Amino acid sequence: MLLATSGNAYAIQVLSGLGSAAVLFLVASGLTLIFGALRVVNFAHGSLYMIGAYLSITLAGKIGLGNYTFFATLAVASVIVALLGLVGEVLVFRRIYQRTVLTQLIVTFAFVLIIGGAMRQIYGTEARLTGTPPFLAGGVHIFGGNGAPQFPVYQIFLIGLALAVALSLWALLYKTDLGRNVRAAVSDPELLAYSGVNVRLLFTGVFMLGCFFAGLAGASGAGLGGVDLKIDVQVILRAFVIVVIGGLGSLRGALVASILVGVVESLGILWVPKASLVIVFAVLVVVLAVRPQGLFGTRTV
Amino acid sequence: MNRAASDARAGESDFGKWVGALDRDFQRGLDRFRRVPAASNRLVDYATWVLALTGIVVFGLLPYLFGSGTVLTAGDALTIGLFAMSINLLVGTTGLVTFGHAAFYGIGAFVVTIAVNDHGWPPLAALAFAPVVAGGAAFLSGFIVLRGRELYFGLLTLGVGQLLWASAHGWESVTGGDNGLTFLTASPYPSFVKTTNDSYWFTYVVVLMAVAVLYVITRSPFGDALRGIRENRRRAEFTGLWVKRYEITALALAGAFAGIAGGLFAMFESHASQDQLYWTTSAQGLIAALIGGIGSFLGPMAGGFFYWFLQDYVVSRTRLWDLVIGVVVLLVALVLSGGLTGALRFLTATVLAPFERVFRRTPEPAVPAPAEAEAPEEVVHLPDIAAIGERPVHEASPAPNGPPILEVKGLSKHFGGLIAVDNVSFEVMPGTVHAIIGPNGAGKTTLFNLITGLIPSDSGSVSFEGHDITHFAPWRLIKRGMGRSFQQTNLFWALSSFNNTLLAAASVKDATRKMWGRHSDELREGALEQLTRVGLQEFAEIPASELSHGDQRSLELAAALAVDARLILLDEFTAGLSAPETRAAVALVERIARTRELTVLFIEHDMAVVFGFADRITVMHRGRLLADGPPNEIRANREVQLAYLGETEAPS
Repeated sequence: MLLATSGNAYAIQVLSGLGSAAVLFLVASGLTLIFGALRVVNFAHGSLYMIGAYLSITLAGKIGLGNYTFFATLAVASVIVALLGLVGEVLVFRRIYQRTVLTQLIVTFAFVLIIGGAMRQIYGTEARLTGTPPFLAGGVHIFGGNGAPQFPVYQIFLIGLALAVALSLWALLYKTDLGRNVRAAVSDPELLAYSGVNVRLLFTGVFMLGCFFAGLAGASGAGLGGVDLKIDVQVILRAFVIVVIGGLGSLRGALVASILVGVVESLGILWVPKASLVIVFAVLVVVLAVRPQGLFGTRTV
Repeated sequence: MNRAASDARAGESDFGKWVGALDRDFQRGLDRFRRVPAASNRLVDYATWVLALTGIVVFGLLPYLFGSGTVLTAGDALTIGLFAMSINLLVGTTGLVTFGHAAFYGIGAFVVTIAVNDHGWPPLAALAFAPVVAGGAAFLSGFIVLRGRELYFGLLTLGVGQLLWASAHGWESVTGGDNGLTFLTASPYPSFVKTTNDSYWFTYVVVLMAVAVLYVITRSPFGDALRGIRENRRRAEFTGLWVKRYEITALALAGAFAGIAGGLFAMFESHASQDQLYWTTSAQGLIAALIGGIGSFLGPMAGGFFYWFLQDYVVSRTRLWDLVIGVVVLLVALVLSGGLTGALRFLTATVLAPFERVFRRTPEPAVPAPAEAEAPEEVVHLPDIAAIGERPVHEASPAPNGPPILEVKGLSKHFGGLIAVDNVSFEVMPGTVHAIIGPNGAGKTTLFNLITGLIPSDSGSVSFEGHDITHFAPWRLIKRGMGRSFQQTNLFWALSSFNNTLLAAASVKDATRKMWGRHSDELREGALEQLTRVGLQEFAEIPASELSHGDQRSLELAAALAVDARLILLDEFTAGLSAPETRAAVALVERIARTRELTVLFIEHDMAVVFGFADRITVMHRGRLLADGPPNEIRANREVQLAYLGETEAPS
């Protein structure tokens, strides 16, 4: 708080908020994509993040955390989470697309419990930490000279990663035939099926893509502050807040809301260290009280 | 199948009638078959009562029967069961899926602890205060969370619940933060509670009383209104229910009961924790409700016991509790959607089925028997079709006197660049049958939606019986004496035909505000009379969803009439009906209109119906009023012909 007078602390806090916003966006983009296409709100999305995080730590333990193995770790962990998503979609999720909101929420919540229990069996209750690869270690001075606080390079990498994902998702959705089909499926899956598209396969693909991003978020986010068994719930709550503020199903909304939530919570730690979450939920309630459909959401859900 | 059945039933010849009658018998037989468990419902109900009473006795004697060891688990289970029941008042009864109800459970816990610790309140007073605060908080949260529907409602409750949790978490000086609050007094209970067994019994008695009150509320006319809202929110609004007010009341009630449960839990544990407000506690209550059975009254309580005792068992042996309950929840949600009580009910019904005959008495009608004098000629199912078909163009009734019953002035509505309704003005005279016609997309339904307050108009005014009703919410219009049916059949699907009309008759008179007892006999007789008027008295006990399409339309009419409407708006009443059914329906509406001096404003595409039936016709085209006059004038109007037939085919 002493440094806050210089203004630099605030700037650094905003930047580090952007760092966590980047990870949150990766989670939220998958969540909002799945909701947009499949109309299912997936409570277990934070659990997929947790799997990705634990997997990356296991992998890093096996193959080390070099400049190249780091990327291999990210890729393998995300792909494994996507494959788990495939299994889950085929076995359970496709059975609940047409069910009531209550059933959907409860079934996905059951997965929160199951995955959480499984992770505890495998990894135990102690928190795990992981490092960063050499080229992303350390910090840089963004404001001022040597006396000023440093900003971690790893967070800059995360911001870059999120922007890259946002761009490629946008390109996928708006510049390819596949993306056009996904968007068509959002508005009318039945009509799309009648125009010769295998909607079921498309849905499985979208679900896997969402899971892939959750795994990527976990694998890359683990380097930020490690992982423990509570991370699933912490992540899904923030991801929900983001997706709801941005408007369910809206990618643009997820991006804007990620930044909003990341920065607000980060600054909230400066203002009210004990209750930064209060501010996050207050933002949610205020936004929804004014615009129940979220910032970029459509009215009909 | 139903559609085909009704088509066959409405056959035109004697043979058709015969087939129709046969088919109806067949249908009824099918129903009976389909409802094997339902046929022995009464027996299952008795069995349920026996089970419930046994449960009440067993849990009352628990310390004697199973020793003090189980008491600790059972006490917690009782409170989580009550919490689950309070959730079910919203989820199962009203159809509001909440994910933040734990906030009110936790508030109850803290209110009791703080009142006793910091303010020295006697425990009983503190416990009585808990539902007041929790209910009040739930009431206030309603103004925010009810802005969303369905999923958004659920996420809003999650948000508000977490906001309250985070506040409790951060407000350490009052709530103790992570540590929570422990009772500072020797015992959190009144002085007459001395042992652990006593504290169990105290919990037991309070829970029992709360459940009894909840039972009365659920079974009351108010509970009926909540079920109506669950089944069909729009229909509820159009039977005169101020839906939001009922929902907010349900929220406050559910919050109050959760507050009692939370307070009891804190007393039993001698400790209040902010975990009680956390959303996973909401999920716990929901899970208990789901496992026990959302559809039954005591299901959530049974689920609470199942949850708590299973947890006790699993946790004492393994570390796999999360996995176990996760799999249980998954199975129940995917396979056993009725929960434990649903399965139990099915089993009981199957086991008892052979004994049904032994127990069966003459089925006692749940509704008063229709009076014999109920003019049978009013029942129109298969009317004299020839007489209607060959009728000449309807001669307009003598021009009625007095002011118009409905006056629309300069009504407009734009959707973006599209002008859906453009400066439309017309009058409807009392006692007339007034048709609105026009090609597809002329703005007819939008006009209806503007008149009935479903969507706000941009400009213009509507007055009904001389009073300005522009921008009135639907339920206010219904109370003023307007009824409406929709283009797509709109009913309380899971409710019986009788309850569909009963709810309409009750809500418009505010009888649904009553939170105890039953509907008055007067209302029940009135509802049955409406049902008889449209010829559905035989199907009084059949759920609306199982009626044929034609009968569903008739039921909608009965529901619209049951609100004591003086003006009724019918949007394509004959949509989806076969030709004979259409004629039957028209005859029905006409007869009711003439005998009850009802004013009818209807949208119709079938010109035979329009010209055979209407006293006056208003023609719309591309959002504007094209013509307005008696049938003969409209028929001769060249502009109308052009609008309908296109320029090329204009008749000479």
